[in-house]
Amino acid sequence: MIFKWALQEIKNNKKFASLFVLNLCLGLLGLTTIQIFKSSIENQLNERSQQILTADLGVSMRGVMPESVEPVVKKEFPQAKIQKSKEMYSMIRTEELSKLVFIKAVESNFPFYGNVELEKENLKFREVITPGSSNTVVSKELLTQLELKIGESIFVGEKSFEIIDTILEDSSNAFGNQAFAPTLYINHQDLEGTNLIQEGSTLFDSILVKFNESLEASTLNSMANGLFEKIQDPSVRVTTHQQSGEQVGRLLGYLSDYLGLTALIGLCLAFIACSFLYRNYIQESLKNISIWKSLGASNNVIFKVYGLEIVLLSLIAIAISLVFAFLFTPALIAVANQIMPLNFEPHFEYTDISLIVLLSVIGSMLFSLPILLDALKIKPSYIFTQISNFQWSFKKLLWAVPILGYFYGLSFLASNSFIVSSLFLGSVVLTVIVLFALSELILFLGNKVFKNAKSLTLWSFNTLKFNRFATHTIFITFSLVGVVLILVQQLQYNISQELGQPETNQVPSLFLFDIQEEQRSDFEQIAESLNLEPQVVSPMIRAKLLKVNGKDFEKGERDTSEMTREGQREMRFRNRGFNLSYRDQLLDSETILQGEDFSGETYSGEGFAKVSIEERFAKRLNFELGDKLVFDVQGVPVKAQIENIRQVRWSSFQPNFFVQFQSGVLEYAPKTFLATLPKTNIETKNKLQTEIVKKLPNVSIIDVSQLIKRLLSVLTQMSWTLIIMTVACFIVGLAVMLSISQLLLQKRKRDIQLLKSIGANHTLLYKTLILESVFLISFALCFGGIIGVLSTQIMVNEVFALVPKFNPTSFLLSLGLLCATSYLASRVLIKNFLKEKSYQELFKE
Amino acid sequence: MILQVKDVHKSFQVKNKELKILKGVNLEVSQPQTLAIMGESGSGKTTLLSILAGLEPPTSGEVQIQGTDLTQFSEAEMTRFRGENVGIIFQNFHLLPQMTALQNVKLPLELSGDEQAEQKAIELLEQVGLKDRINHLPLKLSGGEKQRVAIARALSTKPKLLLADEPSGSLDIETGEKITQLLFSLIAKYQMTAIMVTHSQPLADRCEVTYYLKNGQLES
Ligand SMILES: Nc1ncnc2c1ncn2[C@@H]1O[C@H](COP(=O)(O)OP(=O)(O)OP(=O)(O)O)[C@@H](O)[C@H]1O
Ligand SMILES: [Mg+2]
Repeated sequence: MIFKWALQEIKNNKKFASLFVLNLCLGLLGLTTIQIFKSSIENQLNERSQQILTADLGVSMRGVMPESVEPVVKKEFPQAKIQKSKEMYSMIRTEELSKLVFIKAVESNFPFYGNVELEKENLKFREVITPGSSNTVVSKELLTQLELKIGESIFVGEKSFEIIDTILEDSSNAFGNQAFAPTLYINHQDLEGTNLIQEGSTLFDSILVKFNESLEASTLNSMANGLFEKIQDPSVRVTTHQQSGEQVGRLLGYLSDYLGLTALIGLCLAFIACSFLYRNYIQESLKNISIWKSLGASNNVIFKVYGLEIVLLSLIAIAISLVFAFLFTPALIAVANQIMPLNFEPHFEYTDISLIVLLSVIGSMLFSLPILLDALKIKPSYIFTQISNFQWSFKKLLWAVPILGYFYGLSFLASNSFIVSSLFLGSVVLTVIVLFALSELILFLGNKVFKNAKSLTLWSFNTLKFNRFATHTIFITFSLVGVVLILVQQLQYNISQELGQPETNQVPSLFLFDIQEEQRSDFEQIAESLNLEPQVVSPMIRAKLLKVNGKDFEKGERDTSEMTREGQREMRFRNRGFNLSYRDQLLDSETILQGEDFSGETYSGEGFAKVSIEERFAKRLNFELGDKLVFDVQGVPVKAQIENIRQVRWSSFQPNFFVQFQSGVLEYAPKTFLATLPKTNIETKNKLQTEIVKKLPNVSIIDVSQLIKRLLSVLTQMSWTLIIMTVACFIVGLAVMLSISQLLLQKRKRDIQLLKSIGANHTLLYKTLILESVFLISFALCFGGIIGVLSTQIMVNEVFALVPKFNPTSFLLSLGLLCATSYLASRVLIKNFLKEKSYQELFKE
Repeated sequence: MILQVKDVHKSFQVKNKELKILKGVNLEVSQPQTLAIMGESGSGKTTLLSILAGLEPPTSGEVQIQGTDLTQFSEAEMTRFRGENVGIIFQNFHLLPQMTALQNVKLPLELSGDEQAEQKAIELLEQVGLKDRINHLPLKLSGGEKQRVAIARALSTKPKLLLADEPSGSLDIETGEKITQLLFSLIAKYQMTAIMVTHSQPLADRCEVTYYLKNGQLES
């Protein structure tokens, strides 16, 4: 019976029902899509993390692992299987050509999990890469790049290897290393003959461990921690396969966290709109409710009918949004696959779906219950008096507690981080409070300005003043729409600035590093012989930072108790050595932000040498202009003072350094050189590579154009995702704004008809309403826009640890566009509204 | 001629069926007088009134007020004409709740561009006995007081034609009686023609002429 009544209510209030469903559905759409996306990614990363690490546990370090580690691992896990692997970047060559590759030296039982599939079906990886065989298998593209055929030989360091086959699929390759360089597998034992590993070589040395039984994540974790304690070498890392999976997914994690929070704001907007719609609907149903009551229906029954109605409507909205979410997820997954070639597939779990359904229903209940419960207090005498006994009380504020709790839970679900969700919720609440105050302020000031206004202007302002709740709702929603859209747009701007669009014209085609001092003239000769002039040749000097303003740097204050992702990054920076450089002029990719340019000034030999610091680097380490630094340059202390802070366009792909000295200081320190060569044709490029590998075998060459191609495609995909998100937000915002405005206009039907009957003509009414909406919209959107810009700046600064950028043109453009769209939409609404010629409201009893 | 209604028909389209409400209404008023229109509920009294006020166009027929044909007006012209020549009083008062009594009465004057809106409005409110209530909001006024404000508003532009739909319908008998008295004294004072739709025999008895709306036509 109750079900029938609830259905009947929906049928009788189709307009409310459809607006409610539309808003809720749009609001939920983002969240559902992101949730399905996340669960697809997490599920597959989890499944594949063993294959990515190729083991249960990895013990690894940068550089050659001390001999002492292996026995410790064996002693700790006597039952487990163990194998060693070393990975590094290096140049390989044929007689004519050469190329940078990613070398994986593995033992013949590699991999423990997953598989390296070869092109020829009858060949097994483990039977090919055997000790002492001098066999190798390589990524397919290497053959084309080096004009090689299967069966031919290549030089890896000093040793020759025979190419047996190409790799069809490698389950351990999660990062898509082939983007940077093609992969090449050799046996661990064969590595010795290559002489690639020397003092100070950069390589990734690991011991991979496989247990006999499958272990819980927590067990594995404590085992890893135990082993780490025993090894007693802080530079050795012990990772479980789950951890390494998480690491791989981190980039996607950032993306989905960000999208999730944006979606949450959308949902928040939708809930505000829904509760507004509901409040209005209930107000109009008051008469019905009092009739029900006078007919003897108990509060309990009425509550059930109206409560069920909300549940039903929410379910409809969820169902629709799920359908659309399933349509959208594959597109997002496709983006994920571009970023990380793991072949993700859409996947969802019923628990996830039920969680979404449950959360959405709870959400709409939380927003409508206070209104419904209030309405139930009405006396049956309302039919006669039409006077409702609603009272604003502080008790009602208590409803904010579960609502805030609910949003806290949601944002935790979206971001998986207490800090982020607290920050997020805190700023949303703060924003709403600020907006509320602003709205009050506008009414207060308006009251003074419009006190003696005439006729319709007074009517219009008084309407705003009298319907405070509605005015605040509309002001806050419009502002929030402004906040969200400007935030998304500015964030997108900041991120894309950060990633940078490589300027393909200026970008060098080849990037060479590790040129030794004595090889420099040889290198320049080779380049000259091919009519190539190096764009830049930069010296590079390894150094450590000893002191900052007299204080020891390593022991600088660290708050390790609350390590955020950003904090961890800073730690890594601190422990690492720096590469210094010097040069007597600025490159066109550099701009001085603060301080004086010292180009061309040579060190006088006395006092502090002048250094230039890159802006983000300075920010991360809290360096300021005038700070005094002491570097350890291979044993010699060098004093320097920060003379300027520099911005670098990294996307120029020119050799740039965080710390740059003036000339005359580091010339005598041992160093290597980095160089870039300009665009040229493939033949010259190949010739140059061959020459260099023959004459300067230790020099590594990166083909920048290849790198950029892939980077660009990932970038485009990412920015499209962001743009789509922005547009989606805009649509939700517009829908919310329109449904609220529509409702508010409907409420003024009687007023309008009355005004017409006493001589207010169409044009005047139209002007008044338009003016009113322009007044509200522009105030709300501008405040929202400003808050949006401020919060982007804070977010970029605090969360992303980037230097915030502000683009006034794009800000004004999008704000203008936003205002214009809202204006046009309200114009259409008002026009349509005034078209109605009926005067029925006036003769209703 | 103050008012001339010639063969007015009105029908509504309800679910593809034509609902004929007025079937040839004729009425002529040549000098200021008070008229009552009575009739059963649903007979079309309110419909007729809104046609006379120019709020609703007739399906066919002609309505002339002071020699001008309403049906020829554009919407803007109609609004202007009504503002200056027709005052309407509703059963439910229909005051704007967000404006004070004074502002409510002032509104039609301001809309018609009257310079002395404020002064005239205060005068009128005095005449309806609300001198000390002029800055009150409708919410704080009793039913009778609200109707007094509504009367003051309807009379504010001194229209020649006053239309009222059950002006005392929402009030108790005593208050209704007082309001009726007030209304009639003002009508006499300003020499207006008033057409009142009512179910109340005493009110009808006060009027000079009484018509009955029956079968879509006016009978005296
Ligand atoms: N816009 C409309 N659309 C359809 N039918 C209408 C419309 N307006 C009025 N009617 C119908 O016209 C008939 C006359 O309505 P009207 O309000 O004029 O009656 P009334 O004589 O004023 O009644 P009461 O004394 O109850 O106020 C009614 O049956 C009503 O349902
Ligand atoms: Mg009627």
